[in-house]
Amino acid sequence: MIPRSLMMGVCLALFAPAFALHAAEATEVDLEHLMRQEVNRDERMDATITSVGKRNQKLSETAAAVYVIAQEDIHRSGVTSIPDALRMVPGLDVARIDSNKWAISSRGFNSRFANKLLVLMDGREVYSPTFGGVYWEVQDTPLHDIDRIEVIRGPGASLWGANAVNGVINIITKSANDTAGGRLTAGAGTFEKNFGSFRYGQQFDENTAGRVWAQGFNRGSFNTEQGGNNHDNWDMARAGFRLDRDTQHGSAMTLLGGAYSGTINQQMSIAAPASPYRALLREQAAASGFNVLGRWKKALSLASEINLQAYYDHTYRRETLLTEERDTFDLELQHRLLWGDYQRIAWGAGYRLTEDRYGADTFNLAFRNSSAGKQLFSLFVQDEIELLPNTLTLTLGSKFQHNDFTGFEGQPSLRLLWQPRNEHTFWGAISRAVRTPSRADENSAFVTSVLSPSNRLNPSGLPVVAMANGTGRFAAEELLAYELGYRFTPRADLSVDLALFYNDYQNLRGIDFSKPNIQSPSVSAPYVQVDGRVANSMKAQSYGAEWLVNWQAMPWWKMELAYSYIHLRMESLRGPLNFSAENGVTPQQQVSFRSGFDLAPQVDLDFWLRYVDRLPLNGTVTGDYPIVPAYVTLDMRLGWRAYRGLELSVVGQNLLDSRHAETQQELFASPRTGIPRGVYFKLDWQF
Amino acid sequence: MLTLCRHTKRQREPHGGWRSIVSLVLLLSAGAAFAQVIDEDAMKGLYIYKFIKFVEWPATRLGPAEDPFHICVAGDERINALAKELDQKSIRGKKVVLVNLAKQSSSKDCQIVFVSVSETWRLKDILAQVSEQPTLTVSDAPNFVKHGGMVGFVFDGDHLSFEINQAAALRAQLSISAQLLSLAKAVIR
Repeated sequence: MIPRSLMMGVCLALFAPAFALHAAEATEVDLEHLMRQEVNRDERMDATITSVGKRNQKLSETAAAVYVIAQEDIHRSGVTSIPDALRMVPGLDVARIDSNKWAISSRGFNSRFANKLLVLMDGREVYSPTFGGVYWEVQDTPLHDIDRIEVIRGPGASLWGANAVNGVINIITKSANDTAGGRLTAGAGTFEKNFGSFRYGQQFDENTAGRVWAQGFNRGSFNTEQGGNNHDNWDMARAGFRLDRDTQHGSAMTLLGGAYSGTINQQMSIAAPASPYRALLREQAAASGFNVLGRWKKALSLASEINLQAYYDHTYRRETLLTEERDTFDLELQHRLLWGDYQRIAWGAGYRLTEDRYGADTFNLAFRNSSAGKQLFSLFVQDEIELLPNTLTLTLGSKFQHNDFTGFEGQPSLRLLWQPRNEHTFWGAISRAVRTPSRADENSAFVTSVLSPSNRLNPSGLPVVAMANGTGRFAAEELLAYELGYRFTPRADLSVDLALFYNDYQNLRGIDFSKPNIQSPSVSAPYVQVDGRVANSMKAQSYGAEWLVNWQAMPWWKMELAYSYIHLRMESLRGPLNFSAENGVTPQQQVSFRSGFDLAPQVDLDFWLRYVDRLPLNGTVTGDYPIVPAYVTLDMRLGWRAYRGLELSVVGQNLLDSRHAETQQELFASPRTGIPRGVYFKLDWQF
Repeated sequence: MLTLCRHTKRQREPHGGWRSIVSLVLLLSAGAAFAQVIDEDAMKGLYIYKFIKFVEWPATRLGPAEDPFHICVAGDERINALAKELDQKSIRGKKVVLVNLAKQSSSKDCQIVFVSVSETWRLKDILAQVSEQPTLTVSDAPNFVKHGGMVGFVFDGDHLSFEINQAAALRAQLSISAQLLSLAKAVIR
C-alpha cells in the first residue's frame, strides 16, 4: 500500500502549481501548513481602486479599463515627474514636447492642449477651462508620498463629468498616518540639474496625523533637432501640508493644501502683424498657485455613508501670449448606500464656480471677454445591481450637468461585469460622454498660421494670417463608447488584462475655413487676414486594444508588458478647408516593458524599455510637420539601501539615443526638440 | 486527478523508512513549487474558514443544523473570493456562507464578523455593535486585538499570522482551543 504521505507528496509535487493556487484545493490543507506558506503581498496584482465606483473595489471586479500605478512602480522606475510615470499605462500617450512641456492623452487626440482627459490631484480637478487641458508642468507633489495613481481609459463621465471623455487620471497621496517621520531627498544629474525635497510627518495621537513638505528642482534645457539650445530650462518650488483625522467611530476628515511658484523659459514661433510676420519668441514665463482641500466622511449606518468635499484653487500664469489668473471653488456631496440585498447606490451633487481674468489681448491670442465667472451644477447617480451574487453585476449610472456654455448635458453609462470563476472576469460597457467647450473654443481668436506670399497655399503677393474665431455657438463634443474587457488571473503571480474599445465621436472641433471672412486689417502693414470659425465640423471613429501582462516570475524578478494599439479616422463635415490639427494625434502602437530585479535585499535593478510608433503630425493650416519617427528608449535604475533608512540610486534615462523627438506642439510651436539621454544620482533618507 | 489527491487523506498510513524519505523529498520539492503563490486576501479567507474548527460557540448561537454558518464581512469584501470556493463546503454539518454585514438585519445571525482594514475609521462602532454577543471578531486592521477585537491578522515577514485576545473571546462566551492559541503569534489573556 502506498503510504498516505507519499501519495500526498506525489500529488503536491505534480500538481503544486495548480494546487497552490486555487483556494478550493487549499481548503483541504490544514492551518499549520497554510501558516508556513509565503503570502503574495503584492496588492498590485489586484489593487484596491476607488475611481470607478467611488468606493473601494478590487481591480479584478471593475467593469472598466483601469491601471493602477503603485508607489513601488514610481519608486523603482526612477521617474522624476508624474507625466513620466504615466508612460507605463497602456492606452495613454505621453509625449514630451521639451524640457517643460508634455502632451498627454488617452486613446487618441494627443497634443499639448489635449482636452479629453480629466486629471485629479487628491480630488481636485486640475484641468484649465481656458483650453480644456492640463498644464502638466505645474502638477507635482513629492513622488514618494503618492500612494497610487489610478488611470481609467475610456469615459468616466457618468461619475466624473464632462471632460472625462477618454479617461480619468486620479493622483492619490498617502494618508498622513502612513508618512510619519522625516524624509529628505536630494539629487543632481545632467538635465535633472538638481532637485530636493523634505517632508516631516507626525502622528499627534491615535487618531490624528499630519505632515508638511517642501520640494524644488532646477531642470536644464534641451536641444532642438538642429542642435541649438531650446532655451527651455525651468525651476519650480512647492510646499504643502496634509492632516488626517479619524475617530474610528465612523467619521474621518482630511485637510490638505499646497502652493507653488516657478519660472519657465520657453521659445515659440508666433505671428507678428508686421514683416516678416513670423517671430521666434523667447521668454521667461511665470506660474504660481495655491490650493486647499477638505474632505469629511461620516458613516450613517453600516450600510450608508456620506462624503463631503470642498476645495479652493488659485492659479496664475504669465506668458507673452496669455496672462491668466483663475479662482475655482468646488463643493461636492456624495451618499453611498446598500439598498436591499442586491444593490449599491451612490449619488451625489456638486457645484463649481470658476472665475478667470485674462491679461491684455495679443495679436496671436485674444479673448472676447477678458474675465468671466462660470458656474457648473452637477448631479450623479449610480446603481450597482448584483444580478447573480459574486458573479454578475450590472451598473447603471449617469451624470447630469448644467454649464454656462451649453446648458444641460447627460452622460449615461451601462456596465456589466461577469465573473464565472475567480480567475476570469469579463466586462463590457456602453457610455456617452461629452466635452464641454473651453473658453478658447467659445470666444477666443487665435492665429493658426502665417503663410508667406507666393507659396503653395498662398498664391497672392501678400502674407496671409489665418485666424480661428470662437463664435460662442460651439456645442459640446460627444462620444459614444463601446468597450469590452477580459482579465485572467490564473495564479497569484500572473495576470493578463485585455481591453478593447470602439469610439464614435460627433461634433468634434475643427477650424472651418470653408467660408472664410477675408479682410485687410491694416493699411500700414499690408497682409490679408483670413478668418475661420471654431466649429463642430469634424467627426471621428476609433478602435483599439490595450493588453497588459504582469508576471512575478521569481520572488526576486517581476515583469510587466503593456501593448497599446489604436486606429483613428477623422472625417471633415465641411470639406477640405476644415482643419483639425489642434485635436492632436497619437501613434498607432506603443509597447512598454518593465523588468525589476531584487538583486539582493538591499539592491534593486530595474529596466524600462519603451517603443513608440511614428507620429504623422498634421500641421495647422500650412500643412504638415515632418513625421516624428518611431523611437525605442530605455531607462535603468540601480538602487542601494546602503544603511538603515538611506537609499542611494543612480538612474539613466533615454539611454538608447543621444536624443530623440517625441512630438511637437501643434500651435505656437517651438522648434522640434530632442529629449536627451541623461543620468542623475539621488539620495533618499528616511529618519 | 485532484480528487485522487483528496482521497489520500482518508487512507491509513503504514510507515516505511525509505518511503518516508521519498515522501519528505517530494513534499519539500512541492513546498518549493508551492511557495509564494497564494494571495493575501485568499489566505485571510482560508484562515477564517479554518478558525471555525478551533472555536466553540454556545449551542443557541449555532442554531438548527439547516441554518448555515455565517461569516459576515464589513468593508471592501476583498476576501469574498472565498465565497465561490465555499459553495459546497460544510463544517460540522453546516454550510458556510459569506455575507455582507450591512445586509444582515442584525449581527445576531453572524457567528464570525470580519472587519476589513478599509473600515478602520469606524472600527469602534462595529465592535460596539457586536460586543456582548457570541460572535468571533476578526480583522486585518492594525492593533485590532488591543481595541478589543478577538483575532487580528498580522504579518510575520511574508507569512500571515494572527494575534488573539482570549479575554475578549471569553467575555463573549466563546472558547478558543489551546491548539489555535499555540499557533498564534501573540495572545492577550
